[in-house]
Amino acid sequence: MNTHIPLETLSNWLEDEHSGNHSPQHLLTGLHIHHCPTCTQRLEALQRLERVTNDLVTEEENKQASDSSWLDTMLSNLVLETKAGRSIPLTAHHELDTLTQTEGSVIAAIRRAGESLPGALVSRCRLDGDVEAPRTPINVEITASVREGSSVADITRELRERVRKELERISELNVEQINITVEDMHSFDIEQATKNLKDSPHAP
Amino acid sequence: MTPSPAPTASTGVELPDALLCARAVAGDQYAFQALIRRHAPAMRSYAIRLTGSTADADDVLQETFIQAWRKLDTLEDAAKVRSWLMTLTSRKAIDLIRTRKPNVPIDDVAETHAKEQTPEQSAITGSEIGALAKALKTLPKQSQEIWVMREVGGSSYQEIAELLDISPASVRGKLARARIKLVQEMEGWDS
Ligand SMILES: [Zn+2]
Repeated sequence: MNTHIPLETLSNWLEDEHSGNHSPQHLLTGLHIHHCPTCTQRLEALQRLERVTNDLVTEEENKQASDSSWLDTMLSNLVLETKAGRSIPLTAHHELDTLTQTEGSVIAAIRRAGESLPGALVSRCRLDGDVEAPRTPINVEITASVREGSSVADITRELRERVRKELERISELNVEQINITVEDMHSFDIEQATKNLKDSPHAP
Repeated sequence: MTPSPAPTASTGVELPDALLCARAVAGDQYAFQALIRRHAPAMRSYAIRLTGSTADADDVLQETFIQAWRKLDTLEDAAKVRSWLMTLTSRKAIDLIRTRKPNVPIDDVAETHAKEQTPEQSAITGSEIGALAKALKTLPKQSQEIWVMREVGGSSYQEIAELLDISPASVRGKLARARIKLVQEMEGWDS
């Protein structure tokens, strides 16, 4: 036992120990450490380093979390491009005007209208069909989540109704069908927290 | 917009990352901001450690947020969003370090440490953290970067190797030597 484990090997051994590498070589090294006070001491020093490292990382993260004014500033300056999608033509009131709305804005309106309904969350929404050609019939495909304990049939019917009204109000799309797939159930709390995201003072 | 305390969900529910990710991918900016709020403190302390400067870290974060918004749909497992964000942060930070002029003044991250201890923290913990922060400054620059990416950023050897353009084996070796150096500095080890 007169040759100790080289320090670099000891450090790597500790890492392997965490990642669950138990090769014969690893086990042999472990055996030496177990019977060798010197290597045990060195290993313990490396373990102390691990602990202090964790303390440092946690402390620095907590420091950033405790005063988040920097984050408020950063988020209020953050400009995220909206996913515009296709360009949907609108009737111009003057023949020289060309008016369009973006697919993204229509989808956002569908989401808002759908989620105004208690019990419903809109997970995804897609406009199916050639929205760029005026008057072409299209379908709206909605994937939704319904609150536990509510009637899927009622929610689906009311959701379809609200979306239809909103689309009539804001668009000229020739909507044939609004298909709703209920993919998930959610709790009351999840729904509240999700809908509260929009009401937060940090909402964009 | 006036800064105000972070919103605590009135229902006391923490929305899962997966839900926030799915909504953000579907175009919900509110969900994206909530996701960012959750992970930004870790990203910022990591970026400060990596760049050595709060101003640089904030530039890194701005760019990382924008890229995250654009690329969130490429994230396969929403449970891994934190490490994904940390990886984006690494890339942006390394890009910035590489293009930085050599004589830009750098905040002294380690020095600010001792002062900012909260009273509840024991003096012993504080002095240990301070000793580590000080020891880190004795490491060669690349070893520091490797240590920070691994210990603060949680990066894999492979990721670090790719970012620094060295082999994973070399990353492992340098990391082991960095840890030994830190212990030596902190505990007066003789090698
Ligand atoms: Zn030994």
